[in-house]
Amino acid sequence: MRPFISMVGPTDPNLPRAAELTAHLAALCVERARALGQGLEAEADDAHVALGGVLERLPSIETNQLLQFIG
Amino acid sequence: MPDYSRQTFPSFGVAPSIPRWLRAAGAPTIRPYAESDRSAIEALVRARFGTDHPLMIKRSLSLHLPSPDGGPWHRTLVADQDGGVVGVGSAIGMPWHPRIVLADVMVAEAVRRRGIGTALLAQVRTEARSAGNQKLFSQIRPNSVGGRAFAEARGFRHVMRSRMWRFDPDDPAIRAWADRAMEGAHGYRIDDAVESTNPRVGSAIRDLYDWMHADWNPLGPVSASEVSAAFGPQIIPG
Repeated sequence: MRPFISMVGPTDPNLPRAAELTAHLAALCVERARALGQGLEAEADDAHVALGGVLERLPSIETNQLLQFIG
Repeated sequence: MPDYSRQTFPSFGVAPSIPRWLRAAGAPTIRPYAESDRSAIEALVRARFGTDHPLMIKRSLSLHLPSPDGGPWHRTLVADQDGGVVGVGSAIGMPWHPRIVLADVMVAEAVRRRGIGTALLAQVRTEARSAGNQKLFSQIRPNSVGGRAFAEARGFRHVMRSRMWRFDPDDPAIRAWADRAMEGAHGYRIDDAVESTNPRVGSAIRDLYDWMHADWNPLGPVSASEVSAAFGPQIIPG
C-alpha cells in the first residue's frame, strides 16, 4: 500500500496557526514517503480546510475529485 | 433477503417505452451477486474508471465485490441479460455513519438509458430500507454529467466534495516545500515517538474525523480503540 495522507491536522480547527501545524505534519508524511521510496497519495474533503489548503498548493502528478451525494 | 429468482426488469415501474427494447433484447433479471460475476464486475469498474486515480478503482471494487472476510452489511445485485452481467448495484453499511449506506450503480455503456440503472437503484434502496431505513450515500465524479443528473433526478442532493492527489515526494519543489514547512513557527511540539496504539492517538483521530463530518454525515458512537484499530497501521504519529 502506498503512503496516504488523509486526516492530518489539529483536532480543533480553530487552533491558532492550524495551517502551519497541518503543513508541518503533512511535510513529515512526505518525508516518510520519500524514505520508503514511494509515491504519495492524498485526500481531503472540503470540510478539512487546513489540509486541502496545504495540498492544493503542492505540484501534483494527478488530481481528481468526487462529489458526495445523499438521497 | 427477497427472492429475486423470478424478479425481472419490468417489475420496477419503468417507462412505457422500455418494454419494446426489452422484448427485442430480452429482459434483464435483477438478481443477487454470485462469485461467478466477479470478473464481469471488475471489467465494468475498469471500463468506468480507466486511468483514473487508483483510489477510484480500489474503492469501486471494494464496494461492488463482497469481501470474503465478511465485514459490514453488504448487498450486491447484478442485472443479468442472457447470462451476461450488464449492470451492478451495491450498498455497504458504514458502521461509523449509522444514518447512511454507501451505494453505487453501474451499467455497461452499450445498454445505458434503458432503465437498468433505475431498476438497480430501486432494488438497492429496497435492500437498504430493509436493513435499517438508512439513506443512500453515493460518490460521483464532477465530469460525470449523466451520473449527476441520474442521481439528482432520483432524490440525491450534493453534500460534499472530496479531492484526491498523487505526489512525487522527490519532486524538488515538494522537497523545498517540506523543508520550509518543517521549520514552521507554529509553537507546537511534534512527538514522532508516540505509538499508533496509544489511546491518545485514537482519540485525536476520532475527534478530527468527527468535526470533519459533523455538518453533513455525523459520526456514530465510535470509541477511540475502534479508531486505533482501523487507522492504527496507517498512522504516522505526530
